[in-house]
Amino acid sequence: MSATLLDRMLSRVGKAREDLPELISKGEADEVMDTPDLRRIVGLPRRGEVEADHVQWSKLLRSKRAPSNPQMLRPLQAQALQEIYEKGGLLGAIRVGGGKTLITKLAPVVLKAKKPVLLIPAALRSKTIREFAKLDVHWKRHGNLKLVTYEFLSRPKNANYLTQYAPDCLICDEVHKLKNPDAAVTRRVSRYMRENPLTAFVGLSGTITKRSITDFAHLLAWALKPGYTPLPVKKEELNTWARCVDVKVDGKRPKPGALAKLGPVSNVNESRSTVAKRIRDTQGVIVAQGEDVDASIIIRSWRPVVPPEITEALDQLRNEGVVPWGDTIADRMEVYRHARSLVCGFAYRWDPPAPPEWLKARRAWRGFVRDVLAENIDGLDSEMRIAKAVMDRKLPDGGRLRRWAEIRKSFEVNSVPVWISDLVLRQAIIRIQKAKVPTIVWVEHIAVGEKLRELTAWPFFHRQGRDHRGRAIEDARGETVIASIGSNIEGRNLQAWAHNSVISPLSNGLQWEQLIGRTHRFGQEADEVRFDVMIGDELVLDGFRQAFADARYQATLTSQSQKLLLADTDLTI
Amino acid sequence: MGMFRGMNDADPAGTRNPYFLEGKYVVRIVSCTTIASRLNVPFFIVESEIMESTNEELPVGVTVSTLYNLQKDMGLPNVKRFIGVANGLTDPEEIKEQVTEEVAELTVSEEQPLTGVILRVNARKHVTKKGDEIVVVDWMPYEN
Repeated sequence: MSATLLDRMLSRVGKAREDLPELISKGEADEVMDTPDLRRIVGLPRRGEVEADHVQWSKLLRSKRAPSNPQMLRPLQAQALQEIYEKGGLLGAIRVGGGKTLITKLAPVVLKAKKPVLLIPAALRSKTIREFAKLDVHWKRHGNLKLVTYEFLSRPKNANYLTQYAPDCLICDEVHKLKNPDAAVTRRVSRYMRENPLTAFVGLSGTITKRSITDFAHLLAWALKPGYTPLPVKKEELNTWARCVDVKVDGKRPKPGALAKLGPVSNVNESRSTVAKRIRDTQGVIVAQGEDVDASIIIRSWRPVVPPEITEALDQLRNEGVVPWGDTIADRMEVYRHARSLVCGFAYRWDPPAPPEWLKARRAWRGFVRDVLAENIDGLDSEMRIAKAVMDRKLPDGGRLRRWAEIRKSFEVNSVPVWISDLVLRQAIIRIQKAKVPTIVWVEHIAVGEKLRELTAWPFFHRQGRDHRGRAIEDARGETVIASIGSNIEGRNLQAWAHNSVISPLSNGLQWEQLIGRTHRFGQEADEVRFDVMIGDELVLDGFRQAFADARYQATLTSQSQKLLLADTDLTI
Repeated sequence: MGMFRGMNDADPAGTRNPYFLEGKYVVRIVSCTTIASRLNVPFFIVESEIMESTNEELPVGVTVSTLYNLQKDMGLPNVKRFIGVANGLTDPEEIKEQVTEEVAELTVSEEQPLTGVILRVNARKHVTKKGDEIVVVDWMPYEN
């Protein structure tokens, strides 16, 4: 009987039973299917054992003005440049300290590009200009290379920048900034690459994937072009592969099925390794460990004495969701964020204070959000999602969101840091001074950096990695310095320091990889690179543990060892 | 709170299609698709264009979306009934037997075999055990 309805539906669209497998295989399949795209991937050539001649490449790319004791390309850099030359693009998962800057500088030379654009994070702009100036002494320069920041490209007014400038080559340092397909900057690059598919694309990052092969499948297609990427081009097929090999998968994991044509797939780890190897073996893809750094990493935590006024504020935050001066916290992320500032000794106060009606509406809405979150309802796990459910009339809120929305714009919050106690920071200062070695003091908050500077006169490097005198952090070697994590975590070469004091430990494994890589990198001369991590509260410790979980995940997914996991770590506090 | 920028001017129904409001309608099916939400929750979505309406807020010509969460207990049964009715079946036993997984897959395939099918819709208010008021959509064959 079931044939009747099925046949009737098929005939309605002019199809028959034999067409059915093709018709219904377009959704996410229960197993990886043997498709033309899979057969294409199986047939892609694999890189042979031939290594690029780094001496020859160094000679080719050396500046005519190079000094008599010239720099040499590292073998990895030469390999990357050779593949850029041969394939017209590259995706390079090159770890922190692997020498990416010189590759980004020489890629447009190798490609003989006419209008190359180098995309970089805004925080690295001045550092890149300085490093390129130094490298110009040794290496050929491209006279028409344009530096553009991801932040510039993401602004609405610059939405058509790429179309108007029409580069023939995009080089993307820290290319993980283009990982999120929904981000404005990714959409702009994606549109440009779709409309100009012959544009050469070189993407480099030490942290190219966080959770899934879908993080970088589009980058591979841009770099190698769709017919040559080692991952499926069709979204549905890619998603089936991803659900088969990604570490975290909701629902049932598809069977590897036809993935077996690529290599062994007897379990998830084996399938993942097989896909990873297929990607790594493709010319135009470089997956490399950083250069060996002959220094061990030591991580030690320490717990400051927290004064009672801070302990009370932390208890109130944890138990009642209220911060000093009365604002109500909506979700766990906010609790964590406020805890991180409180353990340093300060909280943010609104200046001027909010009008009572405004505060009442805000508290009513945020109290509602907090209550909904406490119920752990599927799909309602953030303030934004709860607001959307209310707006979609799926969640009754008694008009709280409407009242809050009506009054919200009548008052603009101006937060100013107010210090409750600087006792914790003074303990950190004593520890750093006792060590009697130049130290980088890593801080998350500007307020903490400025307070430390006030207490010690150490220079504070934040915007663009510069201090109040405009000095670059790299020029302060031999000194103890305060460094904003946000401004200095990526791209800086800080191997002149071997001692780090982390006032606000990060909860993200990828960020730790970057932070450790600032000092634990090529050129580090010390035997050990040390990180003293201040843990002022259990909430902060929980966050730090999450970073280790992230790092383990990373190591599995990318086959790249993670510095956090290489460290000799003691979290006893 | 940057996430709420523009809230005052926002249409609560969003820029997507609206959902059915209480009323009786005649609709023409535009498409049947599936989508995974950001939390990877699978939804079956019916888009239909209103041809007759008793609710002024959803006049003729408006395209309406109906979503079924396939992870909910009643998700698959509701989809099964919809597909059955859209194919002219009314007997529950017949629907149970004939609307198979393959039929459902074909329904959401690129061929879209249900596009153009005309149905009656009775959208009625229902109060859940929790006290929430929701609109339940009953699909019925269109018979002149």
